[in-house]
Amino acid sequence: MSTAPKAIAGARERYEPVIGLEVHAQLKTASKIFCCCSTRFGAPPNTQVCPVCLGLPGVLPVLNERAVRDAVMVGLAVGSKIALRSVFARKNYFYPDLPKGYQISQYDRPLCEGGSIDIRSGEGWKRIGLVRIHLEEDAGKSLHPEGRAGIHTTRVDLNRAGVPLIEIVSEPDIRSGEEATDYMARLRQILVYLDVCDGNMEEGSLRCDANVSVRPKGSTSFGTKTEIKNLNSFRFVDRAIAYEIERQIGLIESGGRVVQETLLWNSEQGVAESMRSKEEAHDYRYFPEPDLLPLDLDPAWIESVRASLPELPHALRERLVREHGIPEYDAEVLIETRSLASYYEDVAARSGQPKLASNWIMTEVNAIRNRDGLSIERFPIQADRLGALVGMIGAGSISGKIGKQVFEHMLTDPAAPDEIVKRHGLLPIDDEASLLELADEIVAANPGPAAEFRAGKEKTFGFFVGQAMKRSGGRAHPEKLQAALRAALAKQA
Amino acid sequence: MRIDAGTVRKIAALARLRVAPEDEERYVRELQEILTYVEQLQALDVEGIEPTSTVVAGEPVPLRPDEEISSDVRDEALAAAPDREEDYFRVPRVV
Repeated sequence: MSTAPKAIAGARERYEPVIGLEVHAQLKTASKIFCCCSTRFGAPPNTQVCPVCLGLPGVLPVLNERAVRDAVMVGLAVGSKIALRSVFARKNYFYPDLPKGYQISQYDRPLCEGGSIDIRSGEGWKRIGLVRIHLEEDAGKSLHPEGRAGIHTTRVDLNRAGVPLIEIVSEPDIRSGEEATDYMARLRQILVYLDVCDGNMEEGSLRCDANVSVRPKGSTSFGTKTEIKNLNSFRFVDRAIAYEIERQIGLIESGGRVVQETLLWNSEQGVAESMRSKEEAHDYRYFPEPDLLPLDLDPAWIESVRASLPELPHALRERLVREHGIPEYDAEVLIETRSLASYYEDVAARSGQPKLASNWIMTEVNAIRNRDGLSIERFPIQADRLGALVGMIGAGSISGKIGKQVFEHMLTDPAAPDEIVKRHGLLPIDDEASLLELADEIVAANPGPAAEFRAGKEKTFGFFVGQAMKRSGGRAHPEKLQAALRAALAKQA
Repeated sequence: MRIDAGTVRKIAALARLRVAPEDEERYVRELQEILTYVEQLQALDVEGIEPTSTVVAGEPVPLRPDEEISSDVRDEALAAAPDREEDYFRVPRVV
């Protein structure tokens, strides 16, 4: 399959895509879910293994309490019902990176059920329901080295085998690749706020499989779905889903039928390829894990976890709008991370200019951060210094234009902004004598426009303001300069 | 449930077991006997009864603090494997 059948023009509007996501998130525990091996990413192959995660006979899994706590935190954060009893189950299949021949997961009695995540959809908000969140162990990693003549082998690294995962299964409430991407981004943000997952998609800490089907608009039954695996970036989530929607509509419109199958997203070619595996007819023969007792939770303990939840993104966004009076759009940008939001709050408090502080962070600060790939923690201007600068601009002691020059200096100069203003001769010109002198000079140098102005062409005034500002290097006090210019133009009349 | 040769072959494939064709009939008979015996349980009314996933229910599941302890068994594990390549386990190509 190299190209997708193109959907017949106009057909797109007659169909409604139905999408559900299964997201696997790696928990940030120090040790694996059922043994004491390290979970560190990038260690030399097979150095973080032991008899338990190697699947040797005679060993028993012992559940990591932090993994349980992390999973419960996520469930509480998204409004799931936490099961007072959940049961681990064996999911049986053979693959070289699964040493035991089964994965310990949860099946009919997951840890969390229900809940929801609110996403952006068009101009408004939309609630995406959750089916469940359960705990399970990760498999190892299979590597398939290419281009070695005559060698047809797969290499297996079991460092990742047994790393704790939560699987978060959404209801089929998503309707486009964009909605799916926003859902992923918001889920990731919640996990990172909770500090239970690092959210690093490149390293596989967050992985996504998408179930996609289409149906005629207005229909309430579901079309045949396909499952796309291996969506390890936000861009791939969007592109793969958009691709699959097009493919399915094209197929139906040209008289074909969608076949239920598992597809693998090939990011290099931008196509979803059929896995065509005999493993497709999955029959996992789940049964309760005899080596682990049911997980019983004490309601009081669950409440203590609830009490320990940090402020979550939606609550923080609403609080920024309420307490600082900034637009929702600003708040949305500022809650990117908890540290960016607290940076903002410090700048707003120090400057006493909540909206100006937000503008400066969204434009100047974020431009530099994006250019240099910096987290706010590593941004060279600390909140108190930016707050002082924004305060000076807000109080009118320097213009925004001069402020930008000061800002540039501050990126490499640790001095306070008022010190930088003095040192670089950026002090505003606001004494009347100097401004009058400047105004006289500009008016004298431009007799033509001056005559036009006097003949009643008010628009010409802007030209003088521009010239004078340019001459002063942007330092002239705007209102006082205007007064001086009017005086100069009147004087020579 | 009826067991036939197809069921035996499917279960054998899922379990990665090689079953000789001449043995199929015997497995059909034996599996059928086992299932028929277990199926007697279906006669019981279990409405409202909590499923038993373990016979020691009621005991709290032992939990382990999240502490990392290195086992340092790589070389031993690789030496015990059927095949290795550098520090990886080596298996027949799977894709």
